[in-house]
Amino acid sequence: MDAKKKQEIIARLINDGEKDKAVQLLAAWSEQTSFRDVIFNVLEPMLVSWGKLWMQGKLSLAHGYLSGKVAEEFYLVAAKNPEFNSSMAKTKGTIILGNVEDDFHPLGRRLVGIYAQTAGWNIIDLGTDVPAELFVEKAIECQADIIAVSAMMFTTAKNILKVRQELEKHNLSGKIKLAVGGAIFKLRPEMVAEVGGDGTADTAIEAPDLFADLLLKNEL
Amino acid sequence: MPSNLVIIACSIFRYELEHLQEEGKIKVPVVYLNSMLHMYPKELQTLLDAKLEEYKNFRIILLYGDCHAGMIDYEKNPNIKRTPGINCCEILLGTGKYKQIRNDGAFILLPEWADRWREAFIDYMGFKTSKAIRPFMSEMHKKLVYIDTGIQKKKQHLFDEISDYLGLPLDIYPGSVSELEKVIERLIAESSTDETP
Repeated sequence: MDAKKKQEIIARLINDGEKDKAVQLLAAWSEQTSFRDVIFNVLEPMLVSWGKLWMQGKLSLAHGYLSGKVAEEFYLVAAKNPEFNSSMAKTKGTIILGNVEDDFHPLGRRLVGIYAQTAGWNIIDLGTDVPAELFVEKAIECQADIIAVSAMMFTTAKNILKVRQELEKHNLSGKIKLAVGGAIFKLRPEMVAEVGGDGTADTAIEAPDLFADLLLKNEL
Repeated sequence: MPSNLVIIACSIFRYELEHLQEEGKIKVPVVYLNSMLHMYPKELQTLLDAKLEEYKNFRIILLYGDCHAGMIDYEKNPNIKRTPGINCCEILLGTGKYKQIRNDGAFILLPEWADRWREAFIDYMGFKTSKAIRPFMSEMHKKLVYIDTGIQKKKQHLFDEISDYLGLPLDIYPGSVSELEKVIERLIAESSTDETP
């Protein structure tokens, strides 16, 4: 069976809400070929294509959530496979990811996590409604390079400033970069600076490039 | 009160606003937009922009939270007064009660959405099965809290159905329309004291 056909089968299972079956099938195909083959030839192209549809508003919330969840759970299975782990390049760095305090819109964040993980980043996802203190506490604990904060709306985006203030309180501004993202920053790019962000990406697919740029700035 | 005053509201407030109108507490015409637009912010923005353009010669009270990315821009228009609050739940409950319920890990269900729950979760969000939506809900929430605004009859069968499909227990919070009434009264007063457009 070619990769295209496999993508169609996974898409159908997601469409039917069969998350667990999709993960099991991806794992079974990985036994036949390799986790790397399934990730890069089946899952990733499908996620990129669905990510584009999501950005255009052509995908339902359920599709966005379930495709992200399938990828997330499959990565957990893959991570237990020694062959897959040894085939992956050394991690590019650690990112603390989450939706800012009061924000409950997880899909963009989840997609960022998946694309960044595929690109070789170690992602620690704190979920939705994360207080500023927790972002920085986790970043210190995990020796993270970047804190990536997502907010969908104007009101919640303003809470990101608290993360910047918390970084400053611990004298970590400049040492840990603050990436910000979400619909509001696309509409109001001036808000990136207003909330103390070091950079943003227009789409989840572009997030890994942003993280690479920020890491480079960290190293300079 | 200016004669050209209108309330443009999300239909999530329909029951409560109609009740206030029936009680004679609001004497302003109300125009509704479908509350299911919440899931499609870009469409909401397009339709709301069009509605505001249609009523451009009116003083407008806008009953919306921060529901699309350009919502804040409306406040630059001196003819538009928007309700404070991040979303409909905060507008209806007030900040203190809203935060308290939210901090308990609740997904807040208002009466209009409770009646239209199949439309909201199945048709618009696209969760065609209970199995598909349960992990989504439980990932972020510990329970459902239905806000009883004292207008609708209690519908235990409906609550059981929603709770079963979404996979979370449902509590009923005894609310009221008083916060909504208060904020609309204030915005009507502010609209009345401003210079006529």
